[in-house]
Amino acid sequence: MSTKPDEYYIQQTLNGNVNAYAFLVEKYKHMVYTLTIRIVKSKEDAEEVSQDVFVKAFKKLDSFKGDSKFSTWIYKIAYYASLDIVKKNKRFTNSENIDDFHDGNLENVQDALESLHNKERKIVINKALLKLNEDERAILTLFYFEEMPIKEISKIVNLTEDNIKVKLFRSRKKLATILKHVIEPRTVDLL
Amino acid sequence: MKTGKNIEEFTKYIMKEVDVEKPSTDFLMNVMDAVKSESKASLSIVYKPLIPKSVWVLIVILFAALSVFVLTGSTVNYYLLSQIDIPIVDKVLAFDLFKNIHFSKIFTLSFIVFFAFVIVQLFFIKNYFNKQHIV
Repeated sequence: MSTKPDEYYIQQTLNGNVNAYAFLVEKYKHMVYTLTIRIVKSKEDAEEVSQDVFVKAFKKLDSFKGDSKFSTWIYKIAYYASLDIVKKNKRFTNSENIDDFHDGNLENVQDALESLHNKERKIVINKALLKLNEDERAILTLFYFEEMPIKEISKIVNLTEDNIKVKLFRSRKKLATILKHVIEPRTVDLL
Repeated sequence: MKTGKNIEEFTKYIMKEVDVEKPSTDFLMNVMDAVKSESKASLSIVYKPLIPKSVWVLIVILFAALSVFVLTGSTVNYYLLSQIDIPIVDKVLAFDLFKNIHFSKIFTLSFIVFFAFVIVQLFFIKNYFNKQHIV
């Protein structure tokens, strides 16, 4: 993988070297796909949406002014394209109740998760993630996978930085609560 | 605050456990195929402006000349024309095309407003049209 900055490939693409765009696709395809699959929840839809995102970004490349990072710009396109699909399919996720969360639950949940096999643990966590709202899943994905600063996330999802902080806090709580609900019956089953 | 910290650590642990998702192996190829056909399509449709640049330049020059003439109209005399004694020229100069045409103030005002709206609309239509072809 080349170490040249994104701006170089953007300029090359705009100058007519379409192949230069492949570097950008290769660099961001995993994150765009991860973000879309977290929102649309289906592999087929995520694949189609991600491809459309890159084609749309290519078509609009001359309107990319470089005020923000290319990653922020393309994740924003991915975020809204995914939301459009959710809206079209009317598959919005209902929020989980977080009233019964207590700090003491965390250790038990973590212990229970660690007792699971690697593969099973991943399935359980992925299922729990999918029970969050679309914007919560997107925010968590961008914050933890891409390690994106809150300022950049706020540009993508079009919310204030304070709003993102609140949503992050609530999403963490929700995720812990969902995992607790998933784990507890399993622990009982094991006993 | 302790709860916040604990939850943060717990979420970090959770998110470390799940990997970044991987698209299909021919993802790049599919995107590049679509991009290349898109690029060819955009090359084949080249929009030309209805009024070429040279005509715009001519219009600007004419408009500027007319403006200068109108603004400095009082200083221009028809000395040269008056020296020429051709009856047809006198008739042409004496002929006032707009003599019998009078516009009321309301009509003039509404005419100006109408044109202002037409020009504003053109701007919006152009923007809309551009967006239709970009996205």
